Amino acid sequence: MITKKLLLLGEIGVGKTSLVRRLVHDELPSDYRATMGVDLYRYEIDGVGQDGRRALELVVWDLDGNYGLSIFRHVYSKGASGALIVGDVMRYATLEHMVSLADGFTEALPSRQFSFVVNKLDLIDEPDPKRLPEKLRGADRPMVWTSALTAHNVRTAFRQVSDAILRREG
Amino acid sequence: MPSSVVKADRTEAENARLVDAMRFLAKHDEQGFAWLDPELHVLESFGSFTDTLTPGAPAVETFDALIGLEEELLALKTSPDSEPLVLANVLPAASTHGVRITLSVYWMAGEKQFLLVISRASSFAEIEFRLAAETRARAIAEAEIAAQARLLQRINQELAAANRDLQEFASVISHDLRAPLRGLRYAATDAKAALTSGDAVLASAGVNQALSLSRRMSAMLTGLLEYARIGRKADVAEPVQTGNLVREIVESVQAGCEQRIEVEGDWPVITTVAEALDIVLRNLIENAVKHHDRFDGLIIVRAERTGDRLLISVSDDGPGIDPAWHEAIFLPFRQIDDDDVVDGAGIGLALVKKTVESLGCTIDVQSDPAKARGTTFTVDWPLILPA
Repeated sequence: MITKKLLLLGEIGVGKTSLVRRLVHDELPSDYRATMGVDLYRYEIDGVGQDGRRALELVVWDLDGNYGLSIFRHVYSKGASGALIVGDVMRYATLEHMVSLADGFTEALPSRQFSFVVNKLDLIDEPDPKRLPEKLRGADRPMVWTSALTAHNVRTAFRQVSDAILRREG
Repeated sequence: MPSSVVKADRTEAENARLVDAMRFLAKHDEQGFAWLDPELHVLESFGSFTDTLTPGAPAVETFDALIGLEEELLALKTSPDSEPLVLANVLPAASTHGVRITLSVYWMAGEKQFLLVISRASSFAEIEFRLAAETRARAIAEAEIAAQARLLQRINQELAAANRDLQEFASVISHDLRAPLRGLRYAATDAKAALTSGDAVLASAGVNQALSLSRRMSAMLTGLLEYARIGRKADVAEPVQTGNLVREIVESVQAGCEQRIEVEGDWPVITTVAEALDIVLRNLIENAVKHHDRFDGLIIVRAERTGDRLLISVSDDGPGIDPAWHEAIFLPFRQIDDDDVVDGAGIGLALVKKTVESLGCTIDVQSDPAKARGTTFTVDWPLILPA
């Protein structure tokens, strides 16, 4: 089975760890502790690729949000096949930061796949593009609204980017 | 054991003791070592954290943290400085004890092999890292709490203002509408009595009086709703040509009055809420006309720039307002001379004052009939309304 490296990028506290723990262990961390360095997770995802029949093993790099844009100069980000760029729907600054991270990722890892993830959907009634910065609204990239708390769209977010990775890299 | 450990200038016994010492350190200090060939296949490994490394298998495919790093690792072979590739503070996916590790990969040019050293992450760095992360998270949380507190305060202030408006509204409705409602009841009662006695003329007069009073009440309610609306919706400031605005208003008021209205002074383009300025100018000018006691009266509307303000004044040579009434005239439905028959609902100046104050401006009245005729209302208006 093919194994690919996937980065989880975003400001601290947006829910990166909650998203991957929801995916891998179907649970949430019992208390909030900021990720230090990087936590690695393995997850097998199937039904992806051109024909929808392939399987992919993801090694998810849950990165410390403190790095900010300097993550792209760090060896942690090397060799990544894709990324999920995460923001907190209730914190506008984290949504603005998503745009910067997207620019940084594109420059450091050109033509690699990434998707935007707007997390904590459980705190609002429904996805509301008006909450997003204009540059994020107009970005030509997949965007998924998730809730790690309710598991809404979590698998979809990882599946979507896995699919894109396989279509590109084979 | 590859030659990076075993040295030719040591005896076999010395090398054996060295190897034993390394194995002991690896076991007790939680370190692991692995040797990789130039194509990154595992040759040999021992110590902690090396369970997933299989001899003969590519290290970059079996060791979580190395996946995807083949290019970077192979580039070490050509690096002139022999700097290692270091991945610090990694929690491997397979870790069951939450132990963070640091991986360092060296290219051993002499032996033409890679040396992978895996060690427990430095505890001091761990504490420092965690402290920095927790501090930042706390700063963010505190900033968010402060922002929420400010929002809550603003909402409370708006609620308090809305409550005050509601109380004022209720007070005006119960007090000021009672008089015309009472008059309406009397007129209707008189009309009924006249009908009963067969006096059609008197009955008709009563009905007309009732209709007049209901029209007055309707006008009062319209004025009151307009009064309540002020400051409730978010108005947008834009460039306004005040000269054009005042001339339009004067033209429309002049058409229905005998008094002369003149515009003087400097009327620049200002950034403001056009509707608000219209309400103020229109009501001040109409008020001056309505309460003038002479058909040949003169009303002067003047503007003068001073600093970043525009002083707008509306002066008339009418009967004047007793200083005792200077506050009461701005209350809804208060008319200083009930003997005068004037149209309208008596809310014009109340609208002016509320509009002016909702934009953070001030209004002043100068008049004393005991000293001289005439009244001047002056409004202090900003040239650029803050956002």
